Amino acid sequence: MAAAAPLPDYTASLAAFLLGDYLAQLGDPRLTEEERFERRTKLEYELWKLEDLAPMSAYRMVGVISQTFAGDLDAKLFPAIEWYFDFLSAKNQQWLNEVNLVQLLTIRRALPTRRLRDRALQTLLLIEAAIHPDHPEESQIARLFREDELITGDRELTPQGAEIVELLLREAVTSPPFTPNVPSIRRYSMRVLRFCLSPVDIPDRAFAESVLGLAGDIGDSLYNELSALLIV
Amino acid sequence: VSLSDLEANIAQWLTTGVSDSLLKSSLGKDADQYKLYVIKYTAAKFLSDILTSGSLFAANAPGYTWGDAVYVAPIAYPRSTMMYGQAGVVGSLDTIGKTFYNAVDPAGIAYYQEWIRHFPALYTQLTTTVHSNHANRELRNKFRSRFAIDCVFFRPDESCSSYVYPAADLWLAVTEWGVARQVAYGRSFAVKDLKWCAIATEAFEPDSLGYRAILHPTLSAKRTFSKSSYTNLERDLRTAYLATTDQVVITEF
Repeated sequence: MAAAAPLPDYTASLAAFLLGDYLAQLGDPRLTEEERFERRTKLEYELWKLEDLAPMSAYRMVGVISQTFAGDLDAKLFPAIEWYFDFLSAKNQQWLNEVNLVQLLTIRRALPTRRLRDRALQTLLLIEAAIHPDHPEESQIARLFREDELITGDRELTPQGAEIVELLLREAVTSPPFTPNVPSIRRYSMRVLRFCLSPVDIPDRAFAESVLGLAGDIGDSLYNELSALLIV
Repeated sequence: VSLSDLEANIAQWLTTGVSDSLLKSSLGKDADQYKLYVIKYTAAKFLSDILTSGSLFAANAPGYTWGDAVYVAPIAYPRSTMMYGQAGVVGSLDTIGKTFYNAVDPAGIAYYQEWIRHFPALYTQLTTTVHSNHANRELRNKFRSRFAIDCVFFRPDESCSSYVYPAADLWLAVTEWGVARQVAYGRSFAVKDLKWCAIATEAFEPDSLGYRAILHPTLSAKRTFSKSSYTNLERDLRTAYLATTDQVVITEF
């Protein structure tokens, strides 16, 4: 029997092709858009090749890549962060289990524009829906809601709170309906919203309905489906 | 039109399996009657990995026509995407139970355009900000996720005279599904049984909203072409050079 091949040293491999440099170049203003696109393509091709060396252990790359975004974030890294969100969004559960969700929340708090914050929340939502679909109470998004006090004592959403609610509703509306054995972003996002609105009790119906109104004219059928997921 | 009414119309627009005559000409025969043969032109540097892994890459950069997908052409349009790479890889798409979206017909495009208006934040980003590429990508991905579309077929949106016929050719965006049935990108096994079947002799360069073919038909006209082998190249070049007509040798391996 042959000995098992040693696992690749992802820290060394990713450093060898200058992961940090590539990521920094994704937002380097001295490069043209075409040059940044070329860097991105090269980065993804190198990661693809590295994954191919040992497909069963390649998920360990996540930890190494995420280290690039530890600590204070330089604005030049925002395009790389966006790439990182894309990268994670295409991975399976084995990879997603390796993601540090608290770090994603920290990154989200540091992002200056709504578009980027939405991307961070979308990524967080997808990962949570994939790794613990039946435990919305553990959601970092609900935690963010609590810690940052995004609902006032008068049951009004703060602007930050409304931003998150709108994102959760949009994800629920634009995601496919529930399918057995497939993580459902629709179901998960509505259940997270439920814990955002009321961490302990079932949300007050009138308040929940006013929040659902932010989804716009979605028709009775979808409204009823989302309502049922929210007020449970 | 409310979102639910619109979505009901879109659901009616979807088809399961290949029922459109535009696609039927690329189906296999007999036991392979449900296989749709497709071709992907790629840079030669990616060929080895594609053949070794048996997978293509679902593109993810903002700006792709229908969002993140494996972009291929039905084999009935063998020259239509040649400007994207030198090596032509042929594979098959299993069409049984797959959901197709017809974006050739103006109605298919109109449904999409109407649907995105129901998402004002993204629509505003699309129409009034510098981030339109990102909004475009997200909306197209969401649309395909929402309706579980495995394949969008559409007319080419990049021109290349003598190679692309925008009113007649067909391109496909084949979805790679993620863990929550969301549109994903990266390595994709959606197109199966990949074989390297073509090598292009043409050269292209970007031109306006598409590409320009450099050799054919401008330079190729009034010349004859003949194949030569790796070992007989010198002999065949001498023959071509000394001929009284313009002859070009196509160098094989």
